[in-house]
Amino acid sequence: MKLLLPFSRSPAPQATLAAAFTLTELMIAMGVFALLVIGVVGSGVFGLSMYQITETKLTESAGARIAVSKMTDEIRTCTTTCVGSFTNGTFAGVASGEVQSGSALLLYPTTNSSNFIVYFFNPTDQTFRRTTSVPGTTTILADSVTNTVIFSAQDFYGNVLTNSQNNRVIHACLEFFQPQGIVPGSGSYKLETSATRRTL
Amino acid sequence: MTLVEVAIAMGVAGLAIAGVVNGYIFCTQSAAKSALSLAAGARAIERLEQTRAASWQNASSPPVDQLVASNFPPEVVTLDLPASASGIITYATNYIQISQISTNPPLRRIHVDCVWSFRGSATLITNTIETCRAPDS
Repeated sequence: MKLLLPFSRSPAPQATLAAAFTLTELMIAMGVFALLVIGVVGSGVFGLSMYQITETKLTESAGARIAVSKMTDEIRTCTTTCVGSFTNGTFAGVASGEVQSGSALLLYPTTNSSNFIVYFFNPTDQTFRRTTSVPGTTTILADSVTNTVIFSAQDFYGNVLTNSQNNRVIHACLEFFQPQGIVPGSGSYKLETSATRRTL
Repeated sequence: MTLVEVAIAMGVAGLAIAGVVNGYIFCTQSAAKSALSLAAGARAIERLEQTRAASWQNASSPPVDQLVASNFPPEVVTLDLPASASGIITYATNYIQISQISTNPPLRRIHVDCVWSFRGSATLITNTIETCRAPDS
C-alpha cells in the first residue's frame, strides 16, 4: 500500500519557509474580517432600530388601549356624563350652549352625585389621569400627552355638540409624544376612541 | 486561501446578514400590521358606538328612527398608529349595514366593516364587528 503524504512534491526545507503569511495576505484577511464585522454590527444596529420601532408601536398601542378600555366601560355603564375641565381638584363643566369639549370628563356611575369618576389631563406633567370621589385614588393612565382638549361630546353624525343632549357619544382623543433613541425623528402617536352610554 | 474562496465566503456571509436583516424587517412589518389591525378594530367599534347614540324610539309619538343606514354613510378615517419618521398614514373606510332581524321584539343587526390596506397593498383587509340593538327604552 502506498500512502500519499502531504507536501510530498515539495522539498522539506521549502515547506518550512512558506509557513508564514505575507503582509499583503494579512491585510486582505483583516479587510475581509472588517467587512464581516461591519456587516454583523450593521445588522445588529438595524435590528435594534427595528426593535425600537416595534416596541413603540406595540407598547403604545396596547398600553394606551388598556388604559382607555376601562374608561370606555365606565362611560357605557354610567348614568351621567359631563365634559369640562379639572383644576386643583375641582371639576368645571362646560355650560349648555357652549362647545362640549374639554380636558376632563366627569362620570356618575349611579344616581348618587357624591359618587363620581373624573378622567382628566394634568398639564403640569402632561399626564392623563383618573380619579374618583374617594380621596387618594388618583392614578396616572398615560404620560407624554400633548393635546389639552381630550374629550368632546358628539352626536351620532360625529359633530361636536353645543348642548347637553342625552344621546351623546363621548369621543376621546389622546396624542402622545415619545422621543426615540437611535431612530431618526420622533414618535408621535394618536389614540381615538368613542363610547356611548347604554342607558339612554 | 484563494480569491475565489474569499469571494464565496463573503457571499455566504452576505447571505446570512441579508437573512438576519430580512428577519428584522419581517418582524417589524408584522408588528405594524398587527397594530394597524388593532386600530382598525377600534375604529369599527367607534362607528358602532355612534349607532348606539342614534335615537330609535318606537313608543314615542311620532316614532323616532335615526338608526338607518343612510344616516351612516361610508366614512374615511385614519388608523391611529405611532407615526414613523416617514410619516406614512394609513386610511381606512368604515361601512355600515343595518338590517331588521326581528319586528316583535324589535331588533336590528348592526354590521360594521373597517376596510384598509397595508402600506398601499392591493390586498384589502377587513375588520368586522357586529351587534344587535333594540329601541331606546
